[in-house]
Amino acid sequence: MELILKNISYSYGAFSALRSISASFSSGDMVALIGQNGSGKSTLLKCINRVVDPSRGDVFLDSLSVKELPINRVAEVMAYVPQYAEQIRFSTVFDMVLLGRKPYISGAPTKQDYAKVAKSITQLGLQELAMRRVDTLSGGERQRVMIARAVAQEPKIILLDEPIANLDIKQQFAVMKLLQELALDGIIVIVAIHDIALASRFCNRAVMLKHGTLFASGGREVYNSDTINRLFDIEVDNYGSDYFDTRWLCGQQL
Amino acid sequence: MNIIVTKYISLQRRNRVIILSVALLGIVLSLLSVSIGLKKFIVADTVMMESILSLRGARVASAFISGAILSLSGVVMQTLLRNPLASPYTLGISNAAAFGAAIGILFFSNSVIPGVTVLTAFIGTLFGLGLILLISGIKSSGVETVILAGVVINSLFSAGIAIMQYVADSAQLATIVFWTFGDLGKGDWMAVLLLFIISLAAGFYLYRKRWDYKALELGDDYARSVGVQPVKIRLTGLIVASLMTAVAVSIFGVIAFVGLAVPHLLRRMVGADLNYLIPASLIFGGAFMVVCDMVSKLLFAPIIIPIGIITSIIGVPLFIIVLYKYYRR
Repeated sequence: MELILKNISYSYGAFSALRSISASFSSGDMVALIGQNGSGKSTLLKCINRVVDPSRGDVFLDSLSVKELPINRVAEVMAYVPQYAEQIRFSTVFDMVLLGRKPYISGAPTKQDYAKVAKSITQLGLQELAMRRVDTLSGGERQRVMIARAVAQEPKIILLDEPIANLDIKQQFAVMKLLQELALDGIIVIVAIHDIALASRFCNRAVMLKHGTLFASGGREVYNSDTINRLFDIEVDNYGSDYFDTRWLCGQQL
Repeated sequence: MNIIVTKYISLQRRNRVIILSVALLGIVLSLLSVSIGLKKFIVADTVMMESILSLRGARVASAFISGAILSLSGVVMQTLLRNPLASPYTLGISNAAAFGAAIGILFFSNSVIPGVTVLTAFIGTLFGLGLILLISGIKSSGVETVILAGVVINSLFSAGIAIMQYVADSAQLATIVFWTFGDLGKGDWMAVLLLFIISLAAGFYLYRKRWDYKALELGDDYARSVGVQPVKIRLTGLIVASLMTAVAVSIFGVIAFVGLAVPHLLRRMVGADLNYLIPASLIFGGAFMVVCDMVSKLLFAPIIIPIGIITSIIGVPLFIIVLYKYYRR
């Protein structure tokens, strides 16, 4: 499958959050969406799966415009893990992951739905927590529950808004590794992320946004000190090799 | 079968057993409520016996259905607004009905239209609901704005009721005050039938939408991402819940705390899954109200204490216990 963004623009009233963003991704791509706070990363993710409708431009799945697809069909293709997820008190992990089957459920969930939920719970290593209340879990465990829910949706594309924010390094690494495995299974994974080191370690593609415009995009070659410095308006020597290597090693030791 | 699925199914079985047990308990309590003190009438003539049974039956049925409606309404409002304090009472629906009733008592008490107070109370509720939707902005109504609009409307109608009480003569004042206490004795079999049909239709509609509501609990963005239109689904759900409450409150008066306390208690018992929470709220809410009605009849027998007072007396400590456990990790 190919995901194509064509001249995506979005405005919040008079404020232009995104200006003519174009990019394309293929199955198996793991894409880091990088940029300063307020650069438009979250808005771009929401435009992709029609959580908000772009002011201009369009998103295509292969040759099909997302606008033309029924909203339920979009939900079958794309799963979304929001930045701030509400938690339902007294809800079990299984119930939360079962919500990922929502686009397929009419009436009551089937045995197949249950089986798929159990599979994604196992895939995310949450077996022991399956019947636990979500509000009793740690931040990292909750994050895994949200990803399990997205996996249970059986999407071709997963959009994640800062999924490793507030996690410790071990959890960050575990989550990124998991997403990489999903990408290796042929899913397009697009992840808004602030940690350049982890992005360069795990993501084979990068889309960099600055003030709502496309600043840079490409493969691993865009993760370099010069680009990063210009993207974040900083001047740090050896940001590339030293910083990336340290974090990389750190990750491998974990 | 996968061990995780087996565990989940056994958890669901447990929930079904709880709901069934409460349903059986509700039936036993209802029969008990009808039969309490009946022995002394048995020697009397059959016609009298039948009419006593009919009156008591209608009262118990009224209690059950009104409890079911109020607690279901509470579940739906708390879910759709993602707020544990949402209920028909806190959102001003009950006070809007009371204001409408006060208008009816003050200005139309000599009207030839039967049940004019019920009608004005219902119109008052519709007016209140309309104001909430207008203030919160129909198209862009977010969760917070709906709640804040409800709080404002609640205060507005409280002030309205106070004005009505201020200008009323002593007889009218007593009637208005008594109306705000709630009275299950107002319900006859016609009212029971009407409420039964309404609660069945609304319950069916709300149950059918449960998956949309579950997605909404996780935030509007997430709901949109799984194919739910948040504003439309929230508004229709709130309107259905408010309308069924409006009918019950218009007939019986203000009955506080059921819509607020019962949903919290049920979440502890059967969890947050609306598959079980919706039917459980209907059955448990009904049984709870039957118990409250029995207490209201027995506490100072032969005087019957208005139901709204009893639901508050039982509901407040119950709610405090639930809150204590609810916020304790």
